[in-house]
Amino acid sequence: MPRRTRLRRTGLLIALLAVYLVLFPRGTGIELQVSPAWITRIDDVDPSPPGNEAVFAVQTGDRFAFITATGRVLHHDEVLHAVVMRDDRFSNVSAVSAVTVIQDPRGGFLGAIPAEGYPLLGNRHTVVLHPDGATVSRWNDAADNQWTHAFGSVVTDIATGEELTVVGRLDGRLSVIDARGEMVFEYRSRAGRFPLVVSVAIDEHDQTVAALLDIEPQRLALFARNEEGFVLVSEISMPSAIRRPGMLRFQDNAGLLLWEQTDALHLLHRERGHHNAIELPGALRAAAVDPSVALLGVVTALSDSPDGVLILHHPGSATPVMQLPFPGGSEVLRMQDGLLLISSGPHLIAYRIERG
Amino acid sequence: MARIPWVAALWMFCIASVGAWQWPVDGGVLVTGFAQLHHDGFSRGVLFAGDDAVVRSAAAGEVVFFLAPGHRAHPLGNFVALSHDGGFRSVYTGLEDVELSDGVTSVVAGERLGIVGGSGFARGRRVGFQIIDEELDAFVNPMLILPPREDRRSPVIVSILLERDGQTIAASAVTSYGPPGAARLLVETFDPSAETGTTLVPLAPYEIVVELEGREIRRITFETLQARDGSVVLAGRYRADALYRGERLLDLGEIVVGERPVPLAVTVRDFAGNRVRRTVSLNPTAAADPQAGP
Repeated sequence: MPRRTRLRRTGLLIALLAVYLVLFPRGTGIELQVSPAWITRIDDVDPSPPGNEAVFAVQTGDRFAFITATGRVLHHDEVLHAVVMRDDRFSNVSAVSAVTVIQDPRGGFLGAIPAEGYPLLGNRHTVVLHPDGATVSRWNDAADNQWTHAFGSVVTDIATGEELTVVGRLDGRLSVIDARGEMVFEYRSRAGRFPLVVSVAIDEHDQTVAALLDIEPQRLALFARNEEGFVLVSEISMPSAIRRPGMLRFQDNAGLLLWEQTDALHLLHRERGHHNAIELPGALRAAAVDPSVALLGVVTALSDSPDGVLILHHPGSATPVMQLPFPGGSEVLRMQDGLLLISSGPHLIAYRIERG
Repeated sequence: MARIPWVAALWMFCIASVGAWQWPVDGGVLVTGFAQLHHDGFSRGVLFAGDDAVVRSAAAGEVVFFLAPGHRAHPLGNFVALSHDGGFRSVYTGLEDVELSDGVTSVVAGERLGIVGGSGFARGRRVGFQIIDEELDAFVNPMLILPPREDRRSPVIVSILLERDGQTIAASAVTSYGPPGAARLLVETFDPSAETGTTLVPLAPYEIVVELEGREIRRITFETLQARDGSVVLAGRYRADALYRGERLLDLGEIVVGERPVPLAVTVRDFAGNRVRRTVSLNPTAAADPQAGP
C-alpha cells in the first residue's frame, strides 16, 4: 500500500475516533453527580436514640432543628427571640430572661449562664454580648465567669476560638482576649476614611485573626500569632464596602477564608495565598464548603424575586459547576462528606454529591 | 479638672454645629437618661418611647454600619450607626426595621432611618440614641449635642441616707449623726421627664454636687462613659455597680464628720439648669470617753 494512502487512512481513523469521542464521551471520574437523598419536614421529630451519624444544626425562618445525615430530626423548636447554634449545642435566646440556657441537640439541658444577652458558643465555653451592646463576658462550661470586659463603643462582631476571643467595634478597634481575660492584642484601624470593624473571625487553632475593616477603602486584614500577641501580616483592598454584618469565616478543613462583599463572595486560599472572588446574582444567604468533593456551595437570593439559587463552584474557579434555582429560596446550606442540605419552606432536602 | 478641656471641646463642637443637630425621634418621649441604671449597667445613651414614631438622623453623616432584620442577632436590635464631622458617631438602636439598603452611603439631617421598634433587648417599644466620641473611646451624653428642649421640672431629692455600721438612717434637717467618724452617703434622686405630664418617668440627673461644711467634696457630672481597665466608668471613675444601689439610689461615697455639727448640702441639677438643693445638719454625739467609768 502506498505510503500516502496509509497516511490518509490513519488520518481518517483518527478523525472518526475524535467524532466518536465528542458524540459519546466517556466518564473521566471527575464529573459531578447530584442525586436526591431524602426530604423531611423540619418539625417531623424522630424520638429514637441517635446513632453515630453526623448532626447538623439548621434554622429556617422562626424554626430550628437538629437533623442527622440520614434525615432524622432529633429536636425541633420555635425560635424565641433568636437562636444561636452549633452542631453540638444551642441556645434559644429569650429577650426577657436573665439567664442564658445551653442545650444539646436533643434539647437536653447542658447548662445555664447567669448572664443576659446574645451568646456565642465555643467548644467548651460561651461568650455573651450583653444587652448594652458594648460589654462582653466569657463563661466556662461550669457556668463560671472567666472575665467581663466593657468597651467604649458598640461591639459589631465577636469571634471565639479555643482560648481566644476577638471583639470588633464600631470605632475601628479590635481586641483579642485570652481565656483569663488578658488583652493579648489590640489594634486600632486608622487607614480608612471611616474606621470600623465590620466583621471578625479566628481560626480553630487561635493562630490567625481576620477582620474586615473600614470604609473608603475597605480591606481584609490578617493578623498572625507571634510571641508578643498578633502582628498584621497581610491586607487585601476591597473594590467596594459592606456596611452591614457579612460573612467572614475560616473554613479550616478546606484551607480557606471566606468573606462577603456587596456583590461577591471572596475566597483566600491560605496555603497558596491566592485570592479570588465569585460574583453573586443577589444577596448571599448561606455558603458552605465540602473538601471531600472539592466544592463550594452558595445560596443567594435573586434580585426582585422571592426565589433563590444554589450555585456550586470549584473553590478556585469563578465559573459555576452547577446552578439550581428553587422557589422560596433557602436559608440553610450545609455540605459535608458528599451530603448537601438545603431548605425549602418547612422542608429540609438532602442531595448526595459524588464524583465520577 | 481633666474634665474641663474636653467638655469645652464638646461645647465648641456644639457651637460650631448650631442648627446641624436635631432630635432623632418625632414626638418621642425621653424615658431613660444618660448613664441611668439600665440592664444592671449604665445606659450608654438616652432612650425614647413612642409608638410607631419616626426615627431620623440627628445630623448629616455617613452610614458606617447598619443591622437589619435577617442579619445576625445583636442585643441592640436593628440599629444604624452614622459617622459625623468632629469624630462623633450616632447610633440609633431598637428600630422596628431599618430603612436603608446596601446602596445608601450617606444621609442628610432628618432623613428617615426607621420607626421606634423595641427590637433586641429593648424593654418595650423604645429606641436608643447614643453618641460615641471616637477619640475618647467614650459614650457622650447626647443632651450635650442635641438642641435644648423646654424643661421646667426640677429634679427631686427623695431622701438623703447615711449608712454606718450596717445601719441606714434617713437624714433630716437636724440629724443625730452618732459618734464622730465615717459614713457612706446615699442619695435617692431623679429628674422627672419633662414630656410625660402627670405620669412620672424618672430620669438620671445631669449633675450631683455634695458639699460638707461649705466645701465641695464630690461632683458627679453625667457627661461621659469611658472604658477603663475593662469597665465603663462615669465621669472618669464611677462604676455602675458601685454608684447605683438601686434604680434611683446613688452611693455618693464616704463622708467623715468630726466632733462638731456640720452642714451637708446635696445639689442635683438637670440638663436644662433646673436644680434642687437639700441641706441637713449632721450633729455628732460626744465621743465616749474611754477613761470614764461606768
